[in-house]
Amino acid sequence: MKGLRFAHRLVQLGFLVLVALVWQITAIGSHVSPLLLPPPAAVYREFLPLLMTGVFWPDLKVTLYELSVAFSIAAVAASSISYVVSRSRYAIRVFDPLFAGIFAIPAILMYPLYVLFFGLGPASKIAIGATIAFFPIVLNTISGLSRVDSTYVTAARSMGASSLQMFWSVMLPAAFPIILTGLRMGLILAFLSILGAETIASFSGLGHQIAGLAENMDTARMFAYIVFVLLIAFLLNFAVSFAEARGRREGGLSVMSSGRAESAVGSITKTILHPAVARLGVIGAILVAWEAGARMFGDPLFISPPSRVLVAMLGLAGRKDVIAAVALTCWELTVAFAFSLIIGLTVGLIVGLHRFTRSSLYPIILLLYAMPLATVLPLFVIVFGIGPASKIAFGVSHGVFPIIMAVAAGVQNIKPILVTSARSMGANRRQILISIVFPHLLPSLFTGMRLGMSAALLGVLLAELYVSQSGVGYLTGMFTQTFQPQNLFALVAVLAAIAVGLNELCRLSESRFSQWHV
Amino acid sequence: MTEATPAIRVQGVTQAYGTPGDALRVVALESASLAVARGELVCLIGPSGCGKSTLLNLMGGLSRPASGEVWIDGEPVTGPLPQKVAYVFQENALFPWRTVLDNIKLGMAFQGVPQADREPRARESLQAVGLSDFADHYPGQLSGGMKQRAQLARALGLRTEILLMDEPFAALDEQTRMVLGEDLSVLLARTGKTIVFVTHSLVEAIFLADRVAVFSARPGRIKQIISVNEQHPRNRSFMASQKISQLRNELYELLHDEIRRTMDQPKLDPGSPSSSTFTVNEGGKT
Repeated sequence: MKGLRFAHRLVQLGFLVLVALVWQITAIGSHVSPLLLPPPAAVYREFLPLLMTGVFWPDLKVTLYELSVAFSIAAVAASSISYVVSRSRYAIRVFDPLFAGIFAIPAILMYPLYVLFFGLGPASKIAIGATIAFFPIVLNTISGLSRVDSTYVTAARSMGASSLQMFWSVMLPAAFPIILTGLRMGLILAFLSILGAETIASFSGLGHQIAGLAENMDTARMFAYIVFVLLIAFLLNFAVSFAEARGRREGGLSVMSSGRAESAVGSITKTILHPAVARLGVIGAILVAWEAGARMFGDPLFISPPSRVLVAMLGLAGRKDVIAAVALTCWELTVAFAFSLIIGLTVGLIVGLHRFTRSSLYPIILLLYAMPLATVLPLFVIVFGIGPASKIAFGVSHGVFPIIMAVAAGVQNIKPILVTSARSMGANRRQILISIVFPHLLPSLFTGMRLGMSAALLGVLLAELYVSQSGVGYLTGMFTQTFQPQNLFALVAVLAAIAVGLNELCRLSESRFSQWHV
Repeated sequence: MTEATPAIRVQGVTQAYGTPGDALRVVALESASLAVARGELVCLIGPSGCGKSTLLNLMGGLSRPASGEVWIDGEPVTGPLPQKVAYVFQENALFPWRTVLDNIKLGMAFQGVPQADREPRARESLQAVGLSDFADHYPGQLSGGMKQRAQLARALGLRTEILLMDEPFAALDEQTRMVLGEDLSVLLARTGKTIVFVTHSLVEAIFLADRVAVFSARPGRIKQIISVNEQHPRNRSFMASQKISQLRNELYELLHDEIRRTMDQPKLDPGSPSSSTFTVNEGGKT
């Protein structure tokens, strides 16, 4: 057992060494300019003084300040809302799909709006971080609270637990592992989005520093900063995982994202409103409040009522440049998604199928996934240019990880008895793969595809926002700079609709192809 | 309330899921009547889905009947009765995030036992089931048999007169189950508790029960009640006796056709009434 663990570490170490080696060889041996790809040794020479002199302090302080404020806001708001929602099964069925739907919209799209409202300083980063962190926390907390094993509730009830005792001593501890997972996801997402926001438009912070170095072609130093940020991300992830492991004494409970919660449509009674109708009502109420608020108090330079957004949307539909931009983004997304799927499926199978590769490679995948990709965005632009290639590549870098992880997880959850019984009937490896492994994999593959799709969209948009002369991200930036909030809102609404539509499409095929998976 | 008042009385109780007139309405239990005397152990046995657990939950006030009435100590039941009734469930109903000792103490906290009394009482009931050395273990660290003993300890710690046990040993292997049955019989003889015990095992029912209530297939009715005239505590020699195999054959004869009928029925909807009790107002439940 100990020897095996050592072997896993060896493989992981080997992977890192291999990456460094390939990097060093391509940097020195090929004709790639050292300006684009400095050799690791040069990066190391920049990295050491960076750590020693502590020049990173001002930027790190800004980023961490933004992160802690954003996370606190998100955690407090999400936990109080989910407490209220989870008290009624009806409210769960109204709000859970609503939150899940909004979560599928790449929130970074709102960033130009946030810059408009909050300026280029820390406030806009805090706002975007809090917005993005809110959803995984609220979704997991609701899902955790609503899925507490009914045996515990019944047992506590039989012993006379009061409502408060039920919540404090039964519901909360039972849901705790899932809530913790939500908090961890929230913290990581807040960190990533704050770094991304700093990269796109900011005065300070680590992301801003990296983007600045990229613009000055100071690549060795930029790489040193990237390594530093990766180190911070790794430490953050490690600290949170450690806290999580301590918090979850009883393992086995981990739900990454909810979204399956409303799939069990039970008996719908005539006495109360159908949850979907109530959900539309909630959306309608928000729109009405927005309309009224914008008309009475809003500055038309910054905020537009929904009615004007609708008009603008109709206007945009006739503009050739807008249609071309949407088409371009969709094309980039399709290509990025196709690549993500192929790579994700292959790597996922390699990682998941064997116990050895799983234990040695999975931690690497997790580490890469938690990497603040936004900070390497300048690198993508340096390597792939500012055309569609860098957007696609960046989209793939986002979309591939959820698919890898879902495939690996789906493969390893196969009950050994199924494989054993197939083998007893004389199935060979290929037959087992096709008839047992693949069908079993399908439900989680679809979940992975859904998550991968929104992630790929996020990557593409992020790249377009950062640097681009075309595409939707570019247009949103332009509308912001020229103070056309109605157009900006309209474009964001269209993209949100596309995101939600894709999400629903994946969900439909998910339930279509995995009916047996109750 | 006199000695003659039965500890539990059930009169013409019917329980159904779904609204009346609905095609999907399932009648789980139909006009069941039963009286359980003080200090008596009654086993409920019958095919799956015949309403044994339903009846148990009605007795403990965890759900309300569609019609009919339930009395505990001569008082009509309207809700959970933590002061009088304690449960042992089939599944692992120990809270996995608390140690065995803390589980027992939490039950007492729910019931309203003063803080200072909880620890000594919890240790006492742990001793009664022979788990004193495992007080600080988490449920996940215990074997199946130990978990069920810990659950029993939690129920004993509540010091109720009545114990309702819903297939408590079903998930255990047969040997463990038999030994735990002997322990339960000893406990019964010592404490004189009133116990209603749901089981699928013919031998377990006869070995433990003063009377066995045999249920018919769904819609469940109490088909017959068989008396086992044997003093507690019972032991291995009773297990080996002619009487047990005779009664076992009699019981099997009664159940055989019911089980055949049940095998041809579709699977029951999993939405039992106890599963949706915390979140309020799902509606539609009678």
